[in-house]
Amino acid sequence: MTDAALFEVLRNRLWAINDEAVDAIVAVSGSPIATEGNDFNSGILTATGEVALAGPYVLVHAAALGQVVRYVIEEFGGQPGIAPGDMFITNDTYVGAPHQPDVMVVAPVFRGDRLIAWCGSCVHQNDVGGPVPGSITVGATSIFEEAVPMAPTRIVAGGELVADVEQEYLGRSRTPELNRLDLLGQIEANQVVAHRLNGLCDRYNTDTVVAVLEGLIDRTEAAVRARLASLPDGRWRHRGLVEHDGIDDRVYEIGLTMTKRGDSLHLDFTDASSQAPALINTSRAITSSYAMAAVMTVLGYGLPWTPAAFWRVMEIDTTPGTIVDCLWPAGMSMGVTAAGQEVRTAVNVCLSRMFDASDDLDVRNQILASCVSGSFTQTISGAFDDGQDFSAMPLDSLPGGSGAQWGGDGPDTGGYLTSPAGLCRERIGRAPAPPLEEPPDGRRLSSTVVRTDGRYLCRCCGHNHGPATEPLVNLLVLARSPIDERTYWPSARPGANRFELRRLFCPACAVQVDVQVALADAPLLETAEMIDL
Amino acid sequence: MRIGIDTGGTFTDAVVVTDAAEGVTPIGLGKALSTPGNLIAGTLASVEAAAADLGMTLSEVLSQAESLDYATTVGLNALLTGGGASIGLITTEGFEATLPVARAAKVAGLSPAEATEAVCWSKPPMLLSRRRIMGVPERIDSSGEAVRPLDEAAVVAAVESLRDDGVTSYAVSLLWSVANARHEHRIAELISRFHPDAHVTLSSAVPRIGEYERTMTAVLDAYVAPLVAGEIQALADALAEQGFAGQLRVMQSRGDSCSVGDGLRPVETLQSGPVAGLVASAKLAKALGHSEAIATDVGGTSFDVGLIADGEASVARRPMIGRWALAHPVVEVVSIGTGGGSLAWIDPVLGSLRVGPQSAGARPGPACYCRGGTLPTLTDAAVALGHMSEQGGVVDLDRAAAILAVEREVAAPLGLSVPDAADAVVGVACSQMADLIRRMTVQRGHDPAGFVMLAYGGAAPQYATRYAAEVGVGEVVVPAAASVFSALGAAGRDISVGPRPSSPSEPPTFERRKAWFNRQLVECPVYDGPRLAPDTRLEGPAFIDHPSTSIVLRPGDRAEITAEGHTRLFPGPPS
Repeated sequence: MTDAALFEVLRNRLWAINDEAVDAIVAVSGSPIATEGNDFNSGILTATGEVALAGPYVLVHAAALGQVVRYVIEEFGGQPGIAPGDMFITNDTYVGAPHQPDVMVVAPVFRGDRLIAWCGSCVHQNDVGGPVPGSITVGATSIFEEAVPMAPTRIVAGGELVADVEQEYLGRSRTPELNRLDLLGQIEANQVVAHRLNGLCDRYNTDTVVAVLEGLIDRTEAAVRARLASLPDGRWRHRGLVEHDGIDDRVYEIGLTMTKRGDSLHLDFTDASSQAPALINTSRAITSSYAMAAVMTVLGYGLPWTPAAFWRVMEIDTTPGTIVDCLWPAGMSMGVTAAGQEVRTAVNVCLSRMFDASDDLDVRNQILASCVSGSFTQTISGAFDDGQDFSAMPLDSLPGGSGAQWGGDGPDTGGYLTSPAGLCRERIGRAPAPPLEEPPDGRRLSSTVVRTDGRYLCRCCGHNHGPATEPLVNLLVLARSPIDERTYWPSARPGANRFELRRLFCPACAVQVDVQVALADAPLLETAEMIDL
Repeated sequence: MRIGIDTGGTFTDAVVVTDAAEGVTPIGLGKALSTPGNLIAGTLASVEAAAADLGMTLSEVLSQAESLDYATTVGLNALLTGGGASIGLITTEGFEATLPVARAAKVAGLSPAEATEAVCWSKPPMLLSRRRIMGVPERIDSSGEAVRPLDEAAVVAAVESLRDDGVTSYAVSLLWSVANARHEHRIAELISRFHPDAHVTLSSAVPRIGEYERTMTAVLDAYVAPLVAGEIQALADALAEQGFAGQLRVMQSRGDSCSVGDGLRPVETLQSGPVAGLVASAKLAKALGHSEAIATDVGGTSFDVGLIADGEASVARRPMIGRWALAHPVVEVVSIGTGGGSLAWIDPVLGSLRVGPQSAGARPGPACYCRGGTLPTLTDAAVALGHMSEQGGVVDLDRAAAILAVEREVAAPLGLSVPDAADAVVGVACSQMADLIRRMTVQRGHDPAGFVMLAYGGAAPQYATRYAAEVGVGEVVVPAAASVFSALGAAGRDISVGPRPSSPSEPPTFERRKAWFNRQLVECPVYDGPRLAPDTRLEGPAFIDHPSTSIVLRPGDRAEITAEGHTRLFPGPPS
């Protein structure tokens, strides 16, 4: 068979093998979180722990798999060592588990003595211990008052479930029977992948299979870099806000400055509030996972969703001790719907602003306003008639509104957007004004502003906003309004008056140029800035 | 005498199964063009053709027939083209958003390409606007107790408002009506009083927990019911006029037939076409002594697989139609976009050779059809290899055009010879088909080696031994009358029908054709399928041509003709 055909055949087989792993988890676990909620994921990685493919379920889990595997290789490659038939379990949020209820089981895949790949999965558990059922502790002052995470631990050795480790893991939970089913499902899934990959090696030889795994990443990376290179260079900013840390009703800020230069993407999260005591933080590992998931979803349209390829093009900076890079013993039992979602929103918004600076209509068609960001969740717990404890997370509150698109609304579920991004103009239905004659040397900043001759001009009326040495936001008309005008639950909501909605307009034609949600006393954010190479 | 009908988008197939005293049952086969929007014309024309095949007239066959079983796409067409009724939904107050929220399933039913493009994400279309969803005060709890009485004044107000808004068909779906349907039945009574000629569908007809799926199913039923019921009634009247006094039944998604007027739920007829093919497969497998079978159908744009385990067609774990979730059992037929018309192309990102899911469709079609298509398809690859006859069938095939397309779009960019490139296209397509079969078998704990495979539909017999060998299936059966197989399934008879009465049993006569196998050009015998005698044994490389399909025997494949006229294939090793 020819190389091009063989690559395609093996690529399809790898996807089918990963799907088979997903089926194994669903079939064995039977837990509603997996079978109904799809709150899990499974992936196949290279021998060095790069995620070559992962399911379309929870993308954050996919990125997390790579971080956990690389941690295992670095920390335990020497002692106790990594041998055929081993599997490691962890829910350690400092290593990569998105929050403690997300339990990950990863396994090396050997061909004889040769390590050829890794595989693994992440499944949300009903309960992994800690003070409260469901393992999400509102009011915790540190991780010691949440479920204390389990570092990657060898739970399967030489193909055998290690009984003492199994007890140590299950003994923490209020729902050990359910957790055990999920564990068996995850072990089965890894065994399926190992078995099938070996079958592929039998038929097509090992080097070929390994080359396809790596080729998937290399070829997709080249395409992602080519896409980045075709997009305008610039710097974009967003400030995410998280209310309430479970103890105090204070506001935490997550500032992102995204710089795109050539074919690389720099995500600077260093400007973030100090870490919270617990509940709402993310570790650097989790922040990276959310950033990657957002880059893949928004920037990766029409490209293969090969997680490692997107991971390779981004560079992330964080400041240790902040809400997006918390340090031990900060807790993070629900950072997934707090700081994590705000990180995702920030990346989503900045990428969309970058698309808006593109001259290419196909690119602007991919503009996506932020979807519902941080949200509440609830856990129901109690005991069955026979006295057995249960706890369950219905996930009903997660589907909020999805972001508006260039040409219309996003899928509507009745929620409200906490971060309207810069595109409300389309959302409220006013037709985009036709641009005036574009200055030939002009560079597009967004749908409404162009820079030429060192000045910012309105693309709708041609008005000269002023010198491009000034931040654009200082040259526009600012309308400030209380945030509760834009929500379905007005001023009754305590703390709403801390925020305001800021809309910025062209002083000449009143076209809306930008929208921001901010703390009332915070300075205006320069959301888009051109950089000169 | 029984009649089976399958209305497809292009053709309506009819099969008339006669009552033979013993041995082989003579059958009449008929094909007619489907007439969109006119069920009756296509149906009568196809039965007339099948009658003529038996030397009878239309009214002779109809007056003698005890039943006419029908697989229809009327409802599906209404659904896909937005041509259904103007509907309203009455639900429990406070649960009006169950349908629009749709369990947040914004990528369900989307193609893989759409699912990885965030701006394509959307909820399944609702089929009605939100102002036509009316909540009424009432509440039944999970044990079936009415904890809040039904507010009848509110129901009347809702009905009057929907009626005045132009609604002609109602779906009623209350919380926990599966535990106690009393309130739903009372609402149906009130609708019949205040809006007498309207259609009503109650969700409690499908007593399944899961209010979104149950509500969606009721809404779909209300949407298609008036149209489907009307068309079927018109057909019944037209048949009666021709002397038909038997039972008229419609094939349902769950794999059985339901008499018209006997509680037929139109929503359950939506998938009756593909289901009929699978039901035919189950019956044929049983007749051949197999309780485990894999049914495969290669069409112009897709490859469909169904599974028969323990003699029964498997039902879907999460039944869907298009993007809509269903609450009733549906025989599972899974598809991928790999068919004869699938385009072969070089992936600009991965550099790999891909086949489908884009298709050349019927127009312009494969390059070899000479209807303006210039891009290579799977069919072009098969033609370039010499695996398909250039004459006969629906259209004559232009091999030079096929070779040119493969050369330009696949061979040249990859630096391959045309035969190698064409073989690679067929190889990729067959491996995708094999992957889908593995998903249906291995992934569910079945070993394909224990299954017999059925290959029907125009193109399946061309590729069957190759994808069967890939998954380790030991025997493939190409049924007699493979091209009207779904109609045969609808006929609802154990399928042990035999060769056409006019078929003489003659020794195999054949010509020869040069074709590429395993990178070698070999001269292969071409057998005239309908003239092959029972017990004939053949070895590949060879071709068995039938009027509407062609069976490819690769080197190492073996074939055997059964007494009933089916072709058993024994695949050699994987290509």
